[in-house]
Amino acid sequence: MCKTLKFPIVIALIMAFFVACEREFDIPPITEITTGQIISLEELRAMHSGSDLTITDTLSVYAVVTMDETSGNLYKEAYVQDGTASMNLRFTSSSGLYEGDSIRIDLQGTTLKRYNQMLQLDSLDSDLNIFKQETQIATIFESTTLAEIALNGSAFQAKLVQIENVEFICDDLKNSFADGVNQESLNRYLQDEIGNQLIVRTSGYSNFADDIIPSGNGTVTAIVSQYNDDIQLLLRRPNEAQLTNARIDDCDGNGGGTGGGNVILSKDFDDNSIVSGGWTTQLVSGPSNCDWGIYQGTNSAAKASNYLDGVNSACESWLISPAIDLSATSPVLSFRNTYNFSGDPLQLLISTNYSGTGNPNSATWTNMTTQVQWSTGGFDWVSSGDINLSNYTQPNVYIAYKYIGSNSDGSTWEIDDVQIVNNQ
Amino acid sequence: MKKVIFFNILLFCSVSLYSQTNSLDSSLYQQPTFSISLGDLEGSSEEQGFSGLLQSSKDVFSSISAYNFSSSRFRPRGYDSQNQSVLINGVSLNNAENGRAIWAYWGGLNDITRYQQTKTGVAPNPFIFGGISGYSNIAARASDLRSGTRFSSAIANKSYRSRFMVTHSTGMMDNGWAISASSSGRFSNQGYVEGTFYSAASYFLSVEKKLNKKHSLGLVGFGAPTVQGRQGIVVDEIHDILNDNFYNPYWGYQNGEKRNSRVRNTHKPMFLLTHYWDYSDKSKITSSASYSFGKGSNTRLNWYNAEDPRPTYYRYLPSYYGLPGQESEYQQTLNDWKNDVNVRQINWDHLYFANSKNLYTVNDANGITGNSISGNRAKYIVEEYFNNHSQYSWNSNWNYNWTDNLNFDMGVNFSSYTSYNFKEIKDLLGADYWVDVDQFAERDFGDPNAAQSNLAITNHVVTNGEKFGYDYDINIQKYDVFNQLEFKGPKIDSYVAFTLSGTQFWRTGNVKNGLFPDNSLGESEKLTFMNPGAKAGLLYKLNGRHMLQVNGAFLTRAPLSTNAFISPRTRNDLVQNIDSETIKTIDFNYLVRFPGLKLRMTAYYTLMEDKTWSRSFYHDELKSFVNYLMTGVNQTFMGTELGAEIKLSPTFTTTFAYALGDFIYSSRPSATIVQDNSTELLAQDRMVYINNYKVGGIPQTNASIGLKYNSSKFWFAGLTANYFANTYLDVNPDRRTLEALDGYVISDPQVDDVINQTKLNPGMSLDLFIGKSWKIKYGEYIRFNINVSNLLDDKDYATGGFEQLRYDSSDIDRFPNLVGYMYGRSYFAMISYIF
Repeated sequence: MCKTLKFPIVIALIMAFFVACEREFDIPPITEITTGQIISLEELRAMHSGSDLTITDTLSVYAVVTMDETSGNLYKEAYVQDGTASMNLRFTSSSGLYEGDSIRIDLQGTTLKRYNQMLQLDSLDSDLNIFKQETQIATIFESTTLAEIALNGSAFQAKLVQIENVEFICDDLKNSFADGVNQESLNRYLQDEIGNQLIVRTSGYSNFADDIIPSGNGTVTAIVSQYNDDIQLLLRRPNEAQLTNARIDDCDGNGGGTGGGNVILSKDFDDNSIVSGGWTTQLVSGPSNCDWGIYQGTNSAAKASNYLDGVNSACESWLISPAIDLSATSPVLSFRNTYNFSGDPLQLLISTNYSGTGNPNSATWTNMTTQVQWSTGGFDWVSSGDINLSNYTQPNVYIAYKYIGSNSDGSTWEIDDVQIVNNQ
Repeated sequence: MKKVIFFNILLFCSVSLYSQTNSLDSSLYQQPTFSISLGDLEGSSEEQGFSGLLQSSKDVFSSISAYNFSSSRFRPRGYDSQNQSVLINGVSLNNAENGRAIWAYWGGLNDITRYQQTKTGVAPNPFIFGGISGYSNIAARASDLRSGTRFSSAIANKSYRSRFMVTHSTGMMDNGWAISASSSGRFSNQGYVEGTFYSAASYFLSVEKKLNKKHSLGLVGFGAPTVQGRQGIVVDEIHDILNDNFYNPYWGYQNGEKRNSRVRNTHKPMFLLTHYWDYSDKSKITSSASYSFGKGSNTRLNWYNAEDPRPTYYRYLPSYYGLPGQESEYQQTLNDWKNDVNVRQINWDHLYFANSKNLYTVNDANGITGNSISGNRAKYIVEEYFNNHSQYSWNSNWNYNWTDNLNFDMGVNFSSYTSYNFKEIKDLLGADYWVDVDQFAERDFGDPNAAQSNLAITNHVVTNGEKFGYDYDINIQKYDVFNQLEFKGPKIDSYVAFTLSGTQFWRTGNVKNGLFPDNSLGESEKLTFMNPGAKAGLLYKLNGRHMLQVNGAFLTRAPLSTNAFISPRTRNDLVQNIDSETIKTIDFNYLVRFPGLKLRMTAYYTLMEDKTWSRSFYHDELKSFVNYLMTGVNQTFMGTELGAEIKLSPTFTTTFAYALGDFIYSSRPSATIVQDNSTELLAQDRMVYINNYKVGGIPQTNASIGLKYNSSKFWFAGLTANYFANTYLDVNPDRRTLEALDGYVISDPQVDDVINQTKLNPGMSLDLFIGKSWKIKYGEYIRFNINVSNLLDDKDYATGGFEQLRYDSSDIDRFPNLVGYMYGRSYFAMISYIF
């Protein structure tokens, strides 16, 4: 009897154990945050009376997000508007907001304060203080002029504005919005026809930091921010700088009119960035200290050296321009240069088939070194003289400086004010 | 008799009910595993310590060390467990992807797995050529399993609290059938560590039919469905704040109940059909066809555009406020950690709250232009990532007893393995949907397609149970042949064996990733390796009591597929210059065998060259997994082993084991660092200065002394003292590079902080075991035994950990080491009834 029973038992046990299951959890009840009294953004702004104010009452404000963090031009921040006013929001972490979100802000626990003159609603927690109502609500800009903002910028704080008939100043042309490689924020300047200027500030973390600023005249839509006495415009996306019309200032130094050479490429390194404007460095061989860097000064320059801690290292290091469109131009290159210490001479090279990235030795380069007026050493600065590039009137031209060091010696070279102008 | 059965049925039924309302658990050896390979992101405690496998070893050193060193993460000779071959009926159980035998897949079948044939080190092996750490062959042939029935019930306080097991074997019956079955369940609502749970079942069935005098057929099937809430290790700062070395960051309260965010769920059954052919008295041929398949998954939190929900994120710790002037923040955070369970553990209720009001509209959803979907977009989810597999294999062995002194063995193996790797939404935590895009790529690339995980369905809106993120297969095909000649003489025993194996593997991407549109979908390059090997050994009997022995092996081994792809989750790219590794090993042994004394002394030297090494970790700022890969890694393993068992009297036996090793890196490998969500290499061909650094994570010195009393009245008791020392943390390769020291002058004392290797303090444990058996009548017994580990309840012995791969060379303490500790006093008590 026992024997015959055993087997079914064992099988039954096997079946019984077959179920290994996971626990199901109850969904917790969601805490409701009371709305309390509803105020407008204008009323909220008016609550600040000169010193920081932490809100303890149950107050709410309804608003629509005008600028979010998607482009990277803001970090833990957002801008909102309602029918009455606008406000800069600062979060303890990423806001989680998107342009066009209609939100209720629970104000309890947040702080109103002026940060370098900018009025902010601070210490917002995206989970605890923000309640989304709707999405994709249209944002409304205020049309104004550069002159008006320049005159009375504080009145525009946090507003979304549109300004017509503006262009970037000549010194900024050919530069990028910011230095995305080194993640440095930079100021560029807009001007109107009578010379009023306004800062366009762009974060080095924004996804358009390395875009070259548009050179024409036109309309800019942006958020107005303030940093102490500086009024700054923040772009939400690069295509809101609609600058496609002909410039008013043609940058010949005479403030108007045509004629004279126009600048095709200009790099003065004064932003202390080696790579802004699309320049690249390529360390083909040798230690990292051989790479091209910045000599920082009142007039910064590009610098290469193979000397560190008493040691010269064999290396090959390139400083390469962005792709330059020289087609249908009569281009002339000039730059300033200097060096000290004995070593291989610096070389100037030009290529029409470099890819823009990777080892430059895989492309064909023509050596232009002999056409340059080079420094005689001792850190004496000289101008290169005009170097005619009319043999290279093609759409994808690169110029490059090739630095060579050896284990026994090596010069320190500096380059500045690289410019290609159209001499037509 | 009937009563007993009835009682047991009740017992088991209640257990099975219990298992349905609660969560489950399984692995016997619950030490956390710290190393992380590409294929197994979170580390895997599925890998068994070697202990269960070797305890049945006849070798005096192995059996003592296996039993006593298991709590210290000891590994024989420092070798990775992929060098240990585990077989069932001669068919390999080592996983094709990571090379390791994964104990959890047959956990709970102790009644079956205890019958093993085990050899340690380089040794003759009639089944396969095998690894240099030796082999264990689990005998699952029904006619080989001892007939009888065994019930056991155990309680413990480690990963599980209770275990029930039943096994019945018929032996070869008169009708030519032999049947063996075993089943078990292991459970805990909470294990030794807070927030863990365990629920596991297991089943085993072996049926054999003797067809005639020469032929038998056997069918074996087994599996162990296991669900387990896991534990994690953290920085010592937290251990100090909470005065708890077993703090577990993985759980938190949801609606007042403890919920674990890291749940492992595995069930990978295997079936073998074996043909036994006794060709002649001297010759037999055994052939097996086997198939295994199943599910292996783990869960974890994921989040989008939200704060890191993990309580141990470094910015949430008091030490984040370490600067002068931040004293009040420091104190506040410290108080919160001590007093608020929702700060120090996951705050599930808050995750639901955050998900409840994150209204968002997805435009052009699911790749359909103009299709807008609005709803609460999940900020937080629980995702489940899978490593499912299927494997077919064929295996044939011919064992030929040539003469009385001479044996010849040969074998052929073929296996075809595919793993299916993907992840699914496990729980949206109250939200309506998740969008399948990469946050980092979304921010950093202007191209909106770059952020898409799957270009076939852009802006994919996914909900519970749907696949997202990545989806790829790894295919591995392998064959090997070996032959072996073994001679046993009066003075000399010797053997020699040769092998040749071929391995081919490749990746098949099932989705086209937006960042890697050209090399994510479809098959990767196929890597092929041809690997020869040879081993030989000689035993010289000085006389019947004293023997000298030497063993040696030289082989190459194909790299593991887990180390071969730089970022398998996203693309087909292979590690450059990947090559087979070379293994050379030799050992010298002196063996003594007296009736009252067994002793082995060994010296060994092993060189493993050209290994490939990989690890991954989640980098919160890059919002991505970052993969570290090293090629050209050499390791040297050198040491001595001493094991002795001395019978002091008919009742007292003492055992002694001592292992002194020196396991080091012996090359300067080349490192590549990549992140899953960027085409850019973070580093390439970076030289890693780790020559002469120690291989980490294992005590390089181990000693054990034990005393056992065996009463003639059928009870025994024993006490063992174990000592572990020279444990190092495995190094983060990137901290040992020129680049890490950029900006330091070499005399700066901080340089040492960056490059020095952490050595853990030595540790000791005292273990007690007691057993008693009662004979009811002939062939019917009741046995009771209890083991108490770490009798002195020492909770401060750090057994391992790792250096965080993320580091800040200017402030090395910003990302300190993670450290795990040996459990305090723990017990296992079992009563069994055998009839």
